[in-house]
Amino acid sequence: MRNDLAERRHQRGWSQGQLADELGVSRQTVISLEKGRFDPSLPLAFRIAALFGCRIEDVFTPDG
Amino acid sequence: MVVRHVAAGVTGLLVAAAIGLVAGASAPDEFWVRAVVFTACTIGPSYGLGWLVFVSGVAGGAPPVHAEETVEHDWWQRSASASFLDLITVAGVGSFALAVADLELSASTALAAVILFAFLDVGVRLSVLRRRAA
Repeated sequence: MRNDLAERRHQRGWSQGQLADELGVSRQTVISLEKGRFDPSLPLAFRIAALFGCRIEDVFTPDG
Repeated sequence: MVVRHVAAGVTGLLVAAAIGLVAGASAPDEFWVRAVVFTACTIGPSYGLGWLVFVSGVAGGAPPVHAEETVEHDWWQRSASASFLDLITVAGVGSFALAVADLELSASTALAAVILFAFLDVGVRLSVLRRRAA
């Protein structure tokens, strides 16, 4: 899935490690999410959306 | 941190040497051969034990709160499940080859080969997934 996680993170001035701490996952997970190589679980997707104050579909877009 | 790695190494050496001594004592006629071979073969896993005790608890900080949602957990699940299928395939092909060639293999040799293959397979699959993500 495509996402704008990196842009939203930069707007907050957070590093990947800081975002990982906020979400309770590893830094490698954030790296893989931003590169679109890893799709989050549903609970993680909801936490991401809640953290940025938006809906899941505002952050993630299906490929194709 | 270097001290912890040295402690892990020393622990590994001591554990491997103890295993070698026990193995050597079980056959006094071949004491040194068995002791050296068993020490050499167990030094890797023994160092791993030392690493678990002295290094892993302090390396990399605390684990993530939601470890089951990390990409590393996904890599492990995919590696382990694919390795299980590889193991079934190899065991099946191996059994067939032994039956066709009418060869005998001791249980300990077969089990050791299975364990070694499983470790290598999971390790290689994890490394490949990690490299693809880099």
